Amino acid sequence: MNSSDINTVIRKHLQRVAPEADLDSLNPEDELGPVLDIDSMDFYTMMVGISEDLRVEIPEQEYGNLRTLKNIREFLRKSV
Amino acid sequence: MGKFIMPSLGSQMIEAKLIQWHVKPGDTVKKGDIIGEIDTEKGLIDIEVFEDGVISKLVAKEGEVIPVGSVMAVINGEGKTEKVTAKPAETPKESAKNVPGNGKQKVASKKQVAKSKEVPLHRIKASPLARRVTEDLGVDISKVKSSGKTGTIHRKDVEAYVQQQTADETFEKELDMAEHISKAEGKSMRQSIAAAMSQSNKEIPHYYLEIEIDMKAALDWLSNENQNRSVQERLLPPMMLIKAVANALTEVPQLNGFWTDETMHIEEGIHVGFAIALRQGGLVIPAILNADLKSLDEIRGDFVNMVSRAREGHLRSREISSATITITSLGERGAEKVYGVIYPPQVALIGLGKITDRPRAVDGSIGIRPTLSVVLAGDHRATDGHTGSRFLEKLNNQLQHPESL
Repeated sequence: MNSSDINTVIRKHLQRVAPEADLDSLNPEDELGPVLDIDSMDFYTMMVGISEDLRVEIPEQEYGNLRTLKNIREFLRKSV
Repeated sequence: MGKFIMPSLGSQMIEAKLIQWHVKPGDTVKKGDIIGEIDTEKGLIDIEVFEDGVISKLVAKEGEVIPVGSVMAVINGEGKTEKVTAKPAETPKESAKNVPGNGKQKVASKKQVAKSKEVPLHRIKASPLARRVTEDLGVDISKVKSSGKTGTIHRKDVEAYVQQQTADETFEKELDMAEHISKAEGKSMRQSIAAAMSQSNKEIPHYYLEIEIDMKAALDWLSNENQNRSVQERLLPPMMLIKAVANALTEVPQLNGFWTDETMHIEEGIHVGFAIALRQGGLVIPAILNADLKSLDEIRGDFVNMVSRAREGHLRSREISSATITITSLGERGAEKVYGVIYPPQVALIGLGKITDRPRAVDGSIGIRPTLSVVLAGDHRATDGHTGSRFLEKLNNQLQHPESL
């Protein structure tokens, strides 16, 4: 799986929890919560979706770090 | 024969639009089946049936706006008919009166008339205690149905009948009130929230009590528990808080129920409503039914499922109308405390702030601890601060022993 596939999956699940968000204008280092106004349940839903699509387990200790697009991408590149 | 009526999903609701039926005449349905979808001021709601039976007729048409309490479908019950949530079917006498001069319906009405033929009082089988209770309460014993096989009416049958009558009266009152409040036009979610909150602020003398709960034990336990769980099965703080609230309510049930007819009615079932903000604005408050009886994992399942359905607009009628108490949480950003407004006729609302690291006295020195502010809004007509304070104490105890949740 390459970076663009990973990006597609992240995008799909972000779009599901924040349908009206303009993801193109998102800075990779933006904190997703405050910028997109998504709460912990949205975040959880997104993580479950990504983990199922990419068949990757997201360990509890990593979970708290995955707050920006950049961190999520990096984690997935390492893990997938 | 049961009539499925447009349910009332709150005292402010007067009508809703039927979007679609999921069943057709002849279909067999079981209690809890989703038989259709309605559009209400609370968004799209799946409506559930409350009895087993066979759909004999769909009265309401798709696209039609139907007032609360109107018959939407007729269901032929199998064996014993269970009580339909809101308003039960009309009495046979009334329905006979309403039947127009149409051949097909006449046959049905004849049958019903025969069934409702008055039975002389002495021919009614009833226990002496049941007779005495009916006399005391001024109940017409011929209207009470026996729940036993022998057909003998017992005290519990009389009590069940009285309870049903009271429920009907409350329902009628709610209907009247809703008619006063709103015009015939459907209301938006915003207007519905406005009406409920205005009523609350006008009628409910709120008192507020606040506690800061040390969440270290709870969060440590959660994080430890989550080590062994896949992301799909992970526990989040709100699930734990719902369970802790439900458990604390078993110890202080006075906050669980409704203030109606100038009286507090404590509810046996603990149905914890959880306010969920919608992206498009507004909020819905689905309830986790019988949360005290559910395991943390069952609550987890219900919660995840409910939040996603709330946002997609597929909550069930029972979930949206059953809450006996409400939790509001502003999540992990922004405000640290929330002083909520009680959702009438409930008598308490629990406001959960965000969990933040704060300095606390721990074992004689100052430590930094994850801390949660909980603000209880209580209805001073129903309870006093003492009760509210006891509840907060029990809630704190629950969260200091997360392993026993």
